[in-house]
Amino acid sequence: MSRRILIRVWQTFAVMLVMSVVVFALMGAMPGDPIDMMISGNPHLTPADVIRLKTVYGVGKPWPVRWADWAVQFAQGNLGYSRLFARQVSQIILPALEHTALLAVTAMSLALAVGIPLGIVAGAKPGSRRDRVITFVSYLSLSVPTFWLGLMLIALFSVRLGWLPASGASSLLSPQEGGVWDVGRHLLLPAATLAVGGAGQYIRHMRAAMIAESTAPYLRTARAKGCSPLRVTLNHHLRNALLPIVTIAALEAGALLSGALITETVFAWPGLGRLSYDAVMGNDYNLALTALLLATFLTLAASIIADLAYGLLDPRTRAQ
Amino acid sequence: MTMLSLSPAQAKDSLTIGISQFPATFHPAIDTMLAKSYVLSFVRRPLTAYDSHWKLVCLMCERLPTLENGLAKIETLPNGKKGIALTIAIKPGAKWADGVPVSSDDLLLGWEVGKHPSSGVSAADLYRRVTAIDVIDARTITLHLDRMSFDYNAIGDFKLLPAHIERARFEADPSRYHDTTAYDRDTTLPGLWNGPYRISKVEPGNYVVMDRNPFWNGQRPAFDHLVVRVIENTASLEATILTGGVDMVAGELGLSLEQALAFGQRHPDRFTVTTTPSLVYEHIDLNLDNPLLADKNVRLALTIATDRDTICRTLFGGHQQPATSFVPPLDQAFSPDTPSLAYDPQKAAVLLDQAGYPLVNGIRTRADGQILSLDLMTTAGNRSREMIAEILQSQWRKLGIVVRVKLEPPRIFFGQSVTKRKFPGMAMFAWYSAPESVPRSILRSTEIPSKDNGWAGENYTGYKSAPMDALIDTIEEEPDFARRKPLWREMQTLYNQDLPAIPLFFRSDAHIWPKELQGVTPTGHADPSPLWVEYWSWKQP
Amino acid sequence: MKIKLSLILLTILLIPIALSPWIAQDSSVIDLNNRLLPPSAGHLLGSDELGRDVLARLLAGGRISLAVASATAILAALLGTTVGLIAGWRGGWWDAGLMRLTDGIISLPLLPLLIVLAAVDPIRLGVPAPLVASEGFAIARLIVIIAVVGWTTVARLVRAQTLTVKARDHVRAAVALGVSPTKIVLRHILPHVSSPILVATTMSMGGIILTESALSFLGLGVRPPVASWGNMLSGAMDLVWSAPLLALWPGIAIFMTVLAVSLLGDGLNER
Repeated sequence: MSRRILIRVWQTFAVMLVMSVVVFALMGAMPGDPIDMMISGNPHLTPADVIRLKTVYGVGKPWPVRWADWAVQFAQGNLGYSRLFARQVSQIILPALEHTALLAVTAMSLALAVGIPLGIVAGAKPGSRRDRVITFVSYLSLSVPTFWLGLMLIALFSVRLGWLPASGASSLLSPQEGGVWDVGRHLLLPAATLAVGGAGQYIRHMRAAMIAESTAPYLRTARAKGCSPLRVTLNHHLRNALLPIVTIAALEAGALLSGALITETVFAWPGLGRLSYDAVMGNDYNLALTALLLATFLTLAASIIADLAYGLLDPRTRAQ
Repeated sequence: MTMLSLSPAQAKDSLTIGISQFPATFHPAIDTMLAKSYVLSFVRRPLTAYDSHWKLVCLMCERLPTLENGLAKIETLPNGKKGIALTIAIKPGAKWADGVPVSSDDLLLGWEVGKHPSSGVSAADLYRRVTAIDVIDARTITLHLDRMSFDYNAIGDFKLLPAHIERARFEADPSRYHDTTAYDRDTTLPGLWNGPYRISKVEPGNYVVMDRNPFWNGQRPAFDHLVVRVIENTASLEATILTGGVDMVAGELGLSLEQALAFGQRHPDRFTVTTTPSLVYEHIDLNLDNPLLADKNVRLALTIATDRDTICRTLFGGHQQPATSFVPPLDQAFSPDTPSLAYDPQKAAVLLDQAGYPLVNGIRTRADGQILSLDLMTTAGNRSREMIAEILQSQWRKLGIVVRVKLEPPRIFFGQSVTKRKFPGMAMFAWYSAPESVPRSILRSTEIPSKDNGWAGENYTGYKSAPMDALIDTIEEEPDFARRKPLWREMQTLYNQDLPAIPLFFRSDAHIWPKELQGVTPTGHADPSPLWVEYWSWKQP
Repeated sequence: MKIKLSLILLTILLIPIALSPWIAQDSSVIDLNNRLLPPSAGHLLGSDELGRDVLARLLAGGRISLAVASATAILAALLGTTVGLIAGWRGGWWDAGLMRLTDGIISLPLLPLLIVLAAVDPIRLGVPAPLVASEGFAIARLIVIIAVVGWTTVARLVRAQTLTVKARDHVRAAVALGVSPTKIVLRHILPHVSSPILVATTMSMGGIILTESALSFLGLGVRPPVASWGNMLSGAMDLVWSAPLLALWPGIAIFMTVLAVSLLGDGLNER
């Protein structure tokens, strides 16, 4: 199994390498740079200024050369300078990563906490009224655009009810700034928005897994042996039904990062998703590459972790 | 409906301002960006600025140098041309927020950085015009400029840099200064700021926190703390001001006019929405190399086929002004009696018929089969502009002109379509302007960008007119406003006759203030309202 | 049951959309004096921020959104089927290589990659300028980039099925008889993989519509003045406080469509 993990790790780096080349090349195909944007904003810029600025900022070498420069630096841990924020990339990426991690972990926890029990309830008695209602809710959650849901939640909980803040990650200038309660209040709506899609998936898969497992012979054996129904459910039925959820959760991790981009924009949550969008749109190579590679890495890492977890949980694979 | 006080944004010793974009850098002279000049105007004072009445005033200088008070003297340069010497004294008692007095050395450093070819300073023109600086004493200098223009004392672009912090960084390696400057490496250093506030905390992309400058010797500002929060999504920005996450929304950089007006109508009891006409000239550049646009009458027909008054009335509730020429109505250079460009679809139809484009099956078609079809390009992501483009398209369609709307991200639009003259027909965007700003780079025939000159210049229409060139040169050098005024009138008349661009509107900024806030004076031009933040305060209950 | 329900939903959606060129008003007529009107006899769903009829725009937007969704789903299915068939049939290095490629693409963060692809200037990539300037280019480009990141599910499915079918007797007989590989793949294998392809393609349409609306929200989807449900919905977000109904209709349309294709896919799967 460790050989498999090594292969996966190697694959991860291969994918990241290819991704960096592709993104670099594509961004090289984007015209315009911050200097051209300055022109329309300043009536006093002369033509000589423009030429001079472009040289100063190094906008001009062909992209393979710039990629090579960048790759060498990146490999040494120098993430470069962000043109968009006039700071080192590392100074900007780390806080953003923390915020997105907080959001994603909370969202996934919420989604699991809601999705799995509902899926169990639905799958325990397929066809029942409960099942039909829960299934409808799961379809609902999968059909809703994230940005629309986010704004609806803001409209209800922030504007109409006044219970929660509409945007940002913390209250500034307040004595509670940054405290658990303060961040938690700001976190709730964006995490809920992000959790909805995942919850729907977990409901569906949990339900399907419960139904599939319910006909398994070992369950009938256990019941015939006289095990209590609850024990049967918890020990046998559930454990096995949970296995595919691990894989689904890994796939959802990737979707979470994409969904986070939209959620972070709606809620002005200072995370990695919004950062990568601003960086790509602002032609900030260093920041965009680092942000995108980080997102890729996290997605790949999630699937490796899922593989490991699956291997641990499922005795059948362990035997290999 | 109970509105819990959600956040201390309403605590009386602080003010939280919402804007829709974050500054890319905090260095005063590097990079030009509205967000940056807005945020910096809380914490820095330029030498001079135009106020809310569009008059030039001294902020960091002691007296405005003029020919009348003798602080400005015309000089004859070795090459025979006329230059001017300005004597400027820094306000007595002005100090950087670490207690170091603002001095001539700071002016000198600003000049050295500004004229250095690789320092990354954007608007270097003013710095280069200064041929020499005489240091008279610790806070007085004399600038020698190599050109005499009527706005000689508008030197707000000449930025002071704190020598005691920045000189070492600059001299270590001038070409890397834009990387090493403390303005970005260590933004919260008190000595970088000389306004009523100083920047005390920055989270890039999200917010800036400002505290009082203890060494400020001007009017004492009312707030202990200020926060500028960035929320890019405008629907979220609206929700945030409603829930108290921000107290006010900056007019310079907040909601669009229609959104702000609609907001004001829904919440008249809690908020005041103020609109100020600005110098932002929204217009459509016409590519004069396009044969369909070569005929002056076709250009005139295009212009008078657009009903800008109805757009202003319905979309902007009358709060935005249609433009009658390229000069804003509130500018002293404005002349009301220029050839009319008012909506007149009948006349437009006649002009098109006469120009050889009769209606054939509802579309203007020339005898040789060529239909009158043009592309209108503009920036994507700006809802107002998109709506206006769609409206204009339908107004032109009524006249039989087929217009295709092309939206491009600003980077592509400004990056090449406009600046490299790659827009085939029409390009809609805005010029940010200053009071009585001479449109040299936009209208002079020597300023047409081309491959040969490295795409320098902003005359994107390709307009070539000898009379216009002469007017530009003459106005620039004429110091007496009484003599300039008729020249301005001539220039506007010529512009309206030649129509290298279609004037649309002068944009209005929409400011949203809570009812309890007072003292904010919007300016409507590039020197933003926070330059007078020391006069803002909460009303006493 | 699911299939029945989904077909009912689809009929409710598709019939008005299909008939709209004949029964609906012109969706591009701007009427500035009648902006943001509530529903009335003249405008069954009211008018939008430029005075255009919301119902007409909704139907026109539906044509675009459904066309984009179908075209993308079909293109993705074609790409995925090709990859899956080659990988499953050829095996060996082909299989390993293509599956690594597939895994690689699955592991990429979808939306950030789409943003990069959508923001690229096609002229710099060598696409001729007149083509870029042509009417349908922007939409065609959107279809291509979403398909290019979306073919992986079908590829995996097809490969798995191909491996299974490959081992069956009729295929082995054909190989023994010397039938050309192309004919075997097309005549013997493809028919057996078509069912899972159909299900996967149907279900992917829902996700595509949601992706298009997310891209519109970021300013990278179908651009105005062409209407799509995605850009109608994201455009309505700016007015959500003053005219909330504008967001309701495209939202419902998207929701019904995604629901219908999900139900249809699930229903077909269960058979």
